[in-house]
Amino acid sequence: MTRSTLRTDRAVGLLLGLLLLAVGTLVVLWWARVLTGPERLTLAGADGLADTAWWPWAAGLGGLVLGALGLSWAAAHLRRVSVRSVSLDGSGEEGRLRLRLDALASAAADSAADRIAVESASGSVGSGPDAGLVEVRARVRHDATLEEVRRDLAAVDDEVALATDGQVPVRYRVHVARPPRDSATS
Amino acid sequence: MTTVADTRPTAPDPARPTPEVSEPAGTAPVVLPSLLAALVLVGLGVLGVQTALVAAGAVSGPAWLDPVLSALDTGLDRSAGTLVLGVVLGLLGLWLLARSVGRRPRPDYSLGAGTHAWTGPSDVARVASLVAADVDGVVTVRARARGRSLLLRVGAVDGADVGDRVRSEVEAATEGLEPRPRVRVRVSGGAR
Repeated sequence: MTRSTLRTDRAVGLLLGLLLLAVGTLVVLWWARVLTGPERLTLAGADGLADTAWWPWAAGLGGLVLGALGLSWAAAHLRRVSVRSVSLDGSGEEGRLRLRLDALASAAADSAADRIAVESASGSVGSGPDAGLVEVRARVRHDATLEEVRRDLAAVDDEVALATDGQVPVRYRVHVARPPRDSATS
Repeated sequence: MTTVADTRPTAPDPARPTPEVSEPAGTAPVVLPSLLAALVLVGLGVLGVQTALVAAGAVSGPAWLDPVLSALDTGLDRSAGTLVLGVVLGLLGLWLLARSVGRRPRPDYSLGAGTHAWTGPSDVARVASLVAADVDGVVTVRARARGRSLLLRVGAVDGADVGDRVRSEVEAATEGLEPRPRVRVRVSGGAR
């Protein structure tokens, strides 16, 4: 899902919401005779459409268009756009330095997993609104203090900053490990 | 005694820090109605195509759009059902509007400015209950964190006045989280 899909969603949602609200309000007002109008709200003659020669064509073409629109709209939510690599400063005529973000993610995760407060860690590359950043999920020991976690992750962040010259943003997600059952009474 | 370091274009130290990152966020609320609307579009498409196929003789049976047409032809009268329909449409519109302007949920706690680290409510609750369980006189702990509220239900041995100690221990352990959790402790079984 991309930012433009989200913008489309919001715009369509606002329009459709206003439309439904307006139609609902009008129907209620008509029902309560606040609005004058016919005794019946009807599209008289709609029944006859089925007998015209063009109706099946219109229904078929309209159906194809609506179906394609609906499918592509739904599929737009599944598309994950991500940035695979970034160009580092220092790239020039004599050569380009490109850094693969998935390699950076796993290196950062390995570095995190080596820390005392961290039990295990995994790294991934952000997509959609998070495209261009690296995310490290760290499972920290249940008895680690937040201060220890901060210190260890700051050390990882310093390493990443040094390796990338501060060009790649990293987000850390901290999960506290479940304590082993027998330690609950310690 | 090598000269490699001298050929570097810039000194590696002090390093530039990694850029700021936005806090983690869940799926935008508008996605659910959008997917439902896309599903409705596909459904309408199926109705139309089936109607065309019936007319072409490729499919037998009545066209699925025929009942829709006769319903439009019949229309609405001033029955109770019409009132319900109007109210339901209006409420659906309101729900859609609310979902359309809703922000992506951000339930997580930052470990502090500049840390680029976040942790979830259940993790904060786990830290709090582990700390509380270490306080003398505490037998059972159940913790729940949500937004600014961190509620601990503590079961204590009779006569133990643990509420204040649990609160100060948990506040110390969750120091620096943003938003800062407001710790509330409910003690049962201990001193009242």
